[in-house]
Amino acid sequence: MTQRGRLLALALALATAPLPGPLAAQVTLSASLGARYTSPLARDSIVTAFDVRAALAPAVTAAAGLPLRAPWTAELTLDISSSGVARHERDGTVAPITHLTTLALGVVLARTMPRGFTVRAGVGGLKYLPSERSGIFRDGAGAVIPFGQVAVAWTPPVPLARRLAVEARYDLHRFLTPALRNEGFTNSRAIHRIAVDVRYTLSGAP
Amino acid sequence: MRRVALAAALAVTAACSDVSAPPNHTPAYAYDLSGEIFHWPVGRLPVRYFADTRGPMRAYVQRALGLWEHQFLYGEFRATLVPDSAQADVIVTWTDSVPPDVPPDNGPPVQTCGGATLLTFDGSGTALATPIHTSLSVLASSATPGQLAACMQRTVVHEIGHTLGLPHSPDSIVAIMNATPLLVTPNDNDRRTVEYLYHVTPTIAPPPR
Ligand SMILES: [Zn+2]
Repeated sequence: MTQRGRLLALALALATAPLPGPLAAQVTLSASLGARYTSPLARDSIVTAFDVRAALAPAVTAAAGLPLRAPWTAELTLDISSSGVARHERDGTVAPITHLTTLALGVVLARTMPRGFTVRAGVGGLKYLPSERSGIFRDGAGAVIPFGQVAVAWTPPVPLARRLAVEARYDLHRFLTPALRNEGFTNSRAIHRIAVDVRYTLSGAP
Repeated sequence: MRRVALAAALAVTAACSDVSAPPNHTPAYAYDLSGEIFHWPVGRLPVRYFADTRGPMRAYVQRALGLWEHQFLYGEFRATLVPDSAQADVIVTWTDSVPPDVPPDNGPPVQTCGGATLLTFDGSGTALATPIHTSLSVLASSATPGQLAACMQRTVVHEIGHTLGLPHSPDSIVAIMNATPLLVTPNDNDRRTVEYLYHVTPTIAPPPR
């Protein structure tokens, strides 16, 4: 199978269950749980300056990987994080706006490295899902946003921990809601997200 | 393959310069009450509103609160309807007669109703002593029930604007806060003014709970 064919097979494998026997044997399923920091979603100044920030959020990721030519693996990832969004004034005032869930679907290329390290890079689409249409989301959340991501994971050299990895992930996308545009913001804002998590390989080769 | 992956990731990130400047937030009209500033502080949100249970008042107040909440971007104001006036920060009632619950007439506005919002201060003069009280009255006229309903709807929006802390806007500036409101909803002048008001330090404290 060509590498492009393998990628297509991976996508199909994730979309249809059960997997055909030989392909199922190759697919690696993993999940991670951690915490995510998100840089301010908006900065504004009305009398005084303030930020709109998502709180530190739990981040859950599920990934299905299909080995390509060693040491490469292609992965399809689904990432969810959820936290409150609030206005933060310089004097310490915090005004809740809404609760926000972000859902990101990505395609990632992973490469195993010496000493238990794995590096990943990928792209995908991210969707903001506010719990209510209020504040900066009063006119909706906008369309699916493209993002780029990189990550590095490390598996401790301990036999019992061979399915575990500690991972740091960084992703970047642009953010502008219809309400912010209507208010007069003309440019989207770069949003940096950093997650630290523990990844566990559920099935397949760790 | 590595080059393709990196190129794809960079294609997303390369366009991510952050040059978004805040927009202009100048208020459209004066927002003070004879030199004093009132608005609900963050610690009192959501503001509790009680609406007269008779006729269409609850629906009018619910609609008006939704419209005012929609003017804000940054969590400055939220409100909720409560079933008990003893728990309310704002009480909205009919002055006397209850108009019929009919769809509003969308034709030219006919001033066939009136409203009043009363802020009662404590002895210090720097805090409200009791919940804000708003009342809506039917004026004697030959207007149709639909014209009366339209008048009540826009007047409730106007009076709820007072309960947020807005004074009247000058007649030279079209706004829902004109002394005789002719708009159906708050407009951009109201939005800019109320948004700014909620970032100014108030000089009048809300009533005790
Ligand atoms: Zn008035």
